[in-house]
Amino acid sequence: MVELLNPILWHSIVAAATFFVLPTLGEIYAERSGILNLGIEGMVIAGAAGSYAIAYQTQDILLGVLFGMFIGGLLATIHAILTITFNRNQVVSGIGLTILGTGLSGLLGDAVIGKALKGIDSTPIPILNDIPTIGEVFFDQNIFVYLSFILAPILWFILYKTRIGILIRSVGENPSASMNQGVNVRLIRYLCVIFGGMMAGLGGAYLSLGWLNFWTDGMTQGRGWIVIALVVVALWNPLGAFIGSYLFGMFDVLQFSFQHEAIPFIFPTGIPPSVLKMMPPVSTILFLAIWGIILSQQKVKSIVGAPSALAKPFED
Amino acid sequence: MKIANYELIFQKRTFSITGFRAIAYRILFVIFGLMTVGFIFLLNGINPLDLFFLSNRSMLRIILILLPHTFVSFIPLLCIAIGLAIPFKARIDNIGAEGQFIMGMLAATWTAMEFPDLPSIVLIPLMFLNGFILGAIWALPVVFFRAKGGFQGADVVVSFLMVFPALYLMQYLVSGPWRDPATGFAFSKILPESAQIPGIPIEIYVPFLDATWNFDPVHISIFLVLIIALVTYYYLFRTEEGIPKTKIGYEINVTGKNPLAGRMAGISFFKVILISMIISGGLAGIAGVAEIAGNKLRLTVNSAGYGFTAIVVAYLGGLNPIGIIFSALFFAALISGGTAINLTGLPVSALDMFSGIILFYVLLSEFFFRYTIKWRRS
Amino acid sequence: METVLEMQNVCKTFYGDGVEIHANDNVNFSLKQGEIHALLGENGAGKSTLVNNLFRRPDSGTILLRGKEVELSNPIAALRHGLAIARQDLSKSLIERHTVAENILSISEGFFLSLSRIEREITSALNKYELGDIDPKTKIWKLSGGEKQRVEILKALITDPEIIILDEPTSMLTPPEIVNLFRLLNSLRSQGKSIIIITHHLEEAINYCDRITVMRHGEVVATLETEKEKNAWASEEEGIRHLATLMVGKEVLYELARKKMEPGKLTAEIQGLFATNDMGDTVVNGVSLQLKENQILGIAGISGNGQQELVEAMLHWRKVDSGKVLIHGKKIDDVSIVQDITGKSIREIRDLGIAYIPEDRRKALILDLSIRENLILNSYRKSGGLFIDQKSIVNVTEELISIFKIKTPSALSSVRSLSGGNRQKVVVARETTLAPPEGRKLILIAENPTFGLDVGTTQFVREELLRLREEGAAIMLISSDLTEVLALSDRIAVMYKGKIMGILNSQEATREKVGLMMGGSTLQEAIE
Repeated sequence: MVELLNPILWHSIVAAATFFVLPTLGEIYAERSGILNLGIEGMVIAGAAGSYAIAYQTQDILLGVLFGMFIGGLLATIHAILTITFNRNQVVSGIGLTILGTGLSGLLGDAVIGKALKGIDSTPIPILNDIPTIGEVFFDQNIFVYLSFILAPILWFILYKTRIGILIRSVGENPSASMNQGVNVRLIRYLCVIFGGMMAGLGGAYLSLGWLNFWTDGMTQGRGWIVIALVVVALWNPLGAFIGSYLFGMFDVLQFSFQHEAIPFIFPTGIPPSVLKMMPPVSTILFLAIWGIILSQQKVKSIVGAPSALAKPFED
Repeated sequence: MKIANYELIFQKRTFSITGFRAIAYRILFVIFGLMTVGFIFLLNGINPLDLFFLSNRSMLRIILILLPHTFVSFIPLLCIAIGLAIPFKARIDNIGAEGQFIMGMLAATWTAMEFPDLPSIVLIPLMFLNGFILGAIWALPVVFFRAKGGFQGADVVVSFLMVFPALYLMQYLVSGPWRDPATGFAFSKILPESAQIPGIPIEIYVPFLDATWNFDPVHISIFLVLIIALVTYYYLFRTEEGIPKTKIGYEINVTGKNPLAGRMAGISFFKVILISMIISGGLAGIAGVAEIAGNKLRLTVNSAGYGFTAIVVAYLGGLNPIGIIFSALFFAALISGGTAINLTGLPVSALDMFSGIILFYVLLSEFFFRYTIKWRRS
Repeated sequence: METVLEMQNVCKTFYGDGVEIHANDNVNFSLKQGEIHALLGENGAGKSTLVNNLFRRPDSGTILLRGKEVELSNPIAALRHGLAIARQDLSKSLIERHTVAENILSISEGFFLSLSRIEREITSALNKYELGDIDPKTKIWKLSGGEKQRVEILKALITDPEIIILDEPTSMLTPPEIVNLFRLLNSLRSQGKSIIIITHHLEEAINYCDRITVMRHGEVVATLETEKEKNAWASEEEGIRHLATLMVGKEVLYELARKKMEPGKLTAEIQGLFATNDMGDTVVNGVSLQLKENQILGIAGISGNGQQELVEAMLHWRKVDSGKVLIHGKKIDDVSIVQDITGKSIREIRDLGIAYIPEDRRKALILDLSIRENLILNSYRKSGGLFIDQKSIVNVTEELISIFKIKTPSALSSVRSLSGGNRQKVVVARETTLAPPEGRKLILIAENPTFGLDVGTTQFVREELLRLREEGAAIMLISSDLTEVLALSDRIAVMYKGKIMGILNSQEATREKVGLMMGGSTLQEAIE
């Protein structure tokens, strides 16, 4: 049986979950401002390839990470231009972004496929690191993981307690009303979408430089799409981003632990990897089904549901 | 945007552009798209003019030499894109056609392996039927998420995520139960002869290319998909005096433009989504059958990604079957020309950039159907 | 007195599908210090557009504040110059899921903000202006229509502006609340503030305003000094008629020929209906009503008192918590057949011959489809099988367009290209020609069917309702326009907070009685 209490297992779950947390935080901001960006997968994968390539060529990890964020932000800008300035269908544009990002990742990462690069070391946090189990699981990680711990509460504070946060939520709820109050709706939406793209790029950089330490074509395996589901699970709240992310991080890691588990009659010699790989997408779909039933209750929808103006075209 | 005393504004046109002018605009924006891709190639140190047209290994030349191969990918692209146009028109974003396509391939292989002794005339239609059914079943979750999802984009995410179980199922089958012991790779057995769709044996020597066009890989399902395109057009898309021929065609129009008004008048939203998704998934399944039984003849671990390219094909074709025939041809040509990209040392996945960027420009062109750019003194 | 605001040769054009609308065509307007200035005009005359020019630069023209030219390119600039507006369309002005305080951010500055300080300021401003007791921590969706309107007014006043603009501020207020509002405006005037008020209640303009500017088709027709005119008019009624003539450009006939008719047999019945709104509050509170043939049942009440939910529950657009909706069928062997339609699908309900003219035109029209496709929305499925009978549809729609005088170059033009009046004619044409099943008469539910229409179309729609009544239809007319309900209905039910306060017949219903009941008095209290 899989040792579910093994701290090493939980350590890797935290590592996997961090990949989900970063882009989810960004997408929460984009959606809160009213723009649905389905191109996460594209931005993440291009960010992963771009950051790995630059880090490999310059041997400077930080430069790689910054480049990953730049690529993510750049792709998000395309989405912003199309959906905010030109008011085009956000779903279709997001799909285009995914396709483009995938193509771009092939181009960016071509030279470094299979090339090894020493990624980011973990930096244990003194004192906290010494707490038994918890310290090992949470505080012996790399800088990206700590960043996700810090960013979520900061982003929550900004969204709910500051002027700019209220404005972001306003443009996502009712852009006409915000405009009538003198808010520059387009500017705020641009900033949020580009921020979302940079966070997705950061997530990509973490994937290739901080977590898996390699680059190969299609390495995201659709995880970017799971992020979009996670935003819903988080109920568009930055603190909620942790809940879903850790759950799916768990699915992501556990699939490898079950590889040698035999199921009588069906898989007597162990579960084949391709069947285990179905776990994250299938569990996402099931999770969405349950969540969808809950959220389709009108009252729930009105109180904690999606931002009212999400994905709706806005012309002034 | 402001420059000196002038301000750039978008002014609404009095009438939106339609008909041939719209097509001309689309083509113009596709050219812009190709120029953008060319620019990206230029950044990578490759002369786009050489790559596209001029050199001996240019995409254009390779497309011409490989013309029959263009039709090989034309068949699945057209069939899937027609299937996508229907839900897209009803504003259902089914982007999981790739999964439905894979299920079609699995259905074909299973049927052929299960009933190898049936005569072709029975077996091949049975494969198509099973492909349609399995493809449609794979599209059903989208219906429920669209009708009851409770939040924006649930249907899109689910339709995409459904691709992975299909892909992994295929990988499991070809590397396990269906694996052909005769090869060292994860391949399934070659389909029995009775299950193979016959090709079109024509050979034409083309002097100016100094090449022979061999139409053998083009199988006769090309006629099937063309008939599907025309039938769909006639019954669902074409209007006479502004009215579609069938009730469901009209209901799709209404649901796509304003589901609220449709529901108020008693049109069942669920029924419209269900029917359009069954057709959509079914057609993707049929494309999968045609691909396996006409072209690949055995399953491998990979699928060609037609399901994603078809999304762009459908939008470029203006969500109209006749337009889609042409846009499918265009993308089929791009795919066969993709070899040229490989010859420059870049990965073939760079081809995806064409799809993505052209989709952006097609979206942009639709904006200019309604607006024009003007400079205004401020 | 000094002129504080002047607008010179202001132009604003909108571009629709196939049309250019000159909403403001060289408009000149001036506002003096310490006056209440009414802006009158039909819907679409350009009143709201005119004041909006103060918050987002017009296409051309100049704006002078105290004689100095200013550029007011956005709401912030206007705020700095001491202008504030309470808008008409609250759905485009208040954010439903935010609290009152979060909606009034204009008084705060800086990155961090103290919501509790804003909340305190709001409470003190509410007391100062006597706008009633509203908790600034409440979410907007929890407020009633009248409370929302007061929040919107407060939002304008709280910045302490010199020029206050109120766009239709009384549409959700009861008569006593309206009197309070004008008392407040009077005291602001005496403090030297200048006020523009847009209204379509002509008596408000005559009784409370110093000057009246009348607009028509994007132009200013006249500016009147109320005191001077009052001397010339023999009565308030003559004044109203004079203003109405100016607004419409020709003599208006308010007369409607409502023939006396005996009510026919009972055709539909609502029994003790309860339903909740989206937030789970019970807003339809045991409503019982009867619809009879040859009769118009008017439902009066300030909008937002459960009328919307009542109709939605009847059509099974909304869940019925308890109670029944019954349809009485024809008599067979002297036994009338009663059908319970509670919880049936909209399609089954509509197929029983229930027509519906919704207030929200998005529920009725598909703007991007052609007029023809919109007209057949009910009738396309009449022919059997999978196909649509294209030929007969062409004839029918051409006929409808000519009978209902829908002004369009072709049946294939999109509904978006039509004017507001013609759009509503498309809805009326489609719904009133809905064919009830054999042996039944039409049941028509009309929600504010003349809302936002010009006088001509309003008259047309009202006459159409009366014609249907004579043909035997049972009509349920839900309207927040008291004049309309009084003029058309045979019986009037007044709705307040989800309850029917009483049902009056047309002889006993007076404006005063119904007005009191709209504010929550029972029938008994209103009579006393």
